Amino acid sequence: MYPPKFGYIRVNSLEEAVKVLEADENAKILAGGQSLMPMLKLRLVRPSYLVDINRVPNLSYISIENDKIRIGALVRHHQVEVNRDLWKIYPALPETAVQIGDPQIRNLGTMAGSLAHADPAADWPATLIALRASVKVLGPSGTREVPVEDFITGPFTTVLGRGEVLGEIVIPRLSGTVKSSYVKLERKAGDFAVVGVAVMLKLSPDGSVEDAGIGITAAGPRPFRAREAEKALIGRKLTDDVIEDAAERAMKESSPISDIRGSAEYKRAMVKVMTRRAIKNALSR
Amino acid sequence: MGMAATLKVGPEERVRIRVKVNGVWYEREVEPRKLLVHFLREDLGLTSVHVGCDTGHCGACTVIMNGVSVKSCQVLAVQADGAEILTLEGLAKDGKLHPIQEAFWEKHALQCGYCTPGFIMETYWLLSENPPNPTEEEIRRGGLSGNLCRCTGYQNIIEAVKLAVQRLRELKTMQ
Ligand SMILES: Cc1cc2nc3c(=O)[nH]c(=O)nc-3n(C[C@H](O)[C@H](O)[C@H](O)COP(=O)(O)OP(=O)(O)OC[C@H]3O[C@@H](n4cnc5c(N)ncnc54)[C@H](O)[C@@H]3O)c2cc1C
Ligand code: FES
Ligand code: FES
Repeated sequence: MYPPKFGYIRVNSLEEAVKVLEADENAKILAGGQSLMPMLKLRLVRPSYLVDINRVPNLSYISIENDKIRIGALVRHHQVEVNRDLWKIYPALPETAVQIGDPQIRNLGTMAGSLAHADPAADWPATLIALRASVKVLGPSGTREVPVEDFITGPFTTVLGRGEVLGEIVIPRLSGTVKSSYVKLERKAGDFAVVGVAVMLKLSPDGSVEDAGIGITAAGPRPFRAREAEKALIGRKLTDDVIEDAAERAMKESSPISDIRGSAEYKRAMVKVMTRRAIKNALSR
Repeated sequence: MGMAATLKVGPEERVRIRVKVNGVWYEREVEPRKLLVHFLREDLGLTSVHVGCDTGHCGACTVIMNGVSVKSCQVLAVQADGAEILTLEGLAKDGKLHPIQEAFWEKHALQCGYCTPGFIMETYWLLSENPPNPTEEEIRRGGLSGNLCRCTGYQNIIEAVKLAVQRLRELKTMQ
């Protein structure tokens, strides 16, 4: 399959990309290309120009600071997968990375591209929502920061307006005892999630939950934060009953559709199972 | 190449690219939409690079680009401008097969052979990435999960990768 005809612009900065996208609303960013290339071949998108950002210098950073982690727009899934510091700080991040597609896809695909693509079954959004991450958006009128939870508005739809690009992902670092996990149910290795649940738990010294984040993917028109489930955990000690209550609430907050990966009913039941597993898995760390 | 200035090519135009493939620099003009797999096969005649699914699933088109394995049906030729590419044709040295190729041969890790170049190139990357000693789980899950084989049932492929790991380790200690 040949992609349709398009022009090609290789830029040296994101500012330059913004200018091109502002002047031409049919131009599209090319990052890892691992979602864009299939879309082009299937003629699901017909851009006028591809704006290749792969040569923009200094966009491949994973910057670990005291109060936050900043991830540049060209960080590939594989870089997250092999980052030892992230395995210690937020294991849910590399744990998400290793479960995306396969090695070749992870060598090129980017976290930023995954968010911008906004597949309702993508893995990153669940984990980034649980970790309360936000994205830095660069546009013609400057920079704005948007929580990942609000960034994706529906299937393959984001808040990105004309001329806007995603510049970096910012993940706040909580102090104290923080645990995290991402659990993905898949039919076969490398497939998109049937459902995926990410959990972040901040524990106080007595073992009760001071703060909790739960992000869920493939169980609704967009990845979402399970607020009721989070509330069921906060202030409590994590007994089996408390975990069960949270998992039940997460299931009630979900609204999956039936598709090739399962019926809506099955997926709802799996949201409950995966939420329970994600909490227990995080706790065991 | 280096820090190239902004490059702009119209949809009806062609773009001149320079790519180092198996140690040799090539210069060709391509349409922006040309896939790397078509460039390698049609423009350079490197027919070990197979098209299986054309959707990024099967891995038959796997090549090494700037040190990492990629599916060349998921990359544009113009993206490889200035890059170093390694295909199966570049593995054998002085008429002698690469240890990974030998291992695939000895372990009978192929039947029709269609998937083989992709598996060998992905193994090449896996062993450059994780030289010590990948476990069978790492070979299956982390290593070869992006390559599909419709013939062998994978068992002999896994055996071949294990043998290649052993051979490469022996070669290293000999040096
Ligand atoms: C076989 C296969 C299996 C896969 N399995 C999974 C899986 O299990 N889980 C999963 O989550 N994903 C999976 N993916 C998708 C993969 O993770 C992609 O890498 C990701 O969705 C897109 O990232 P990219 O860098 O490749 O973006 P591209 O394909 O380059 O771009 C995707 C979209 O985002 C836009 N874009 C990219 N970067 C920016 C930016 N900085 N600012 C604004 N817009 C931008 C592009 O214009 C395009 O519209 C799979 C893909 C394949 C081919
Ligand atoms: S032909 Fe490229 S992955 Fe199948
Ligand atoms: S040997 Fe035939 S597809 Fe693998």
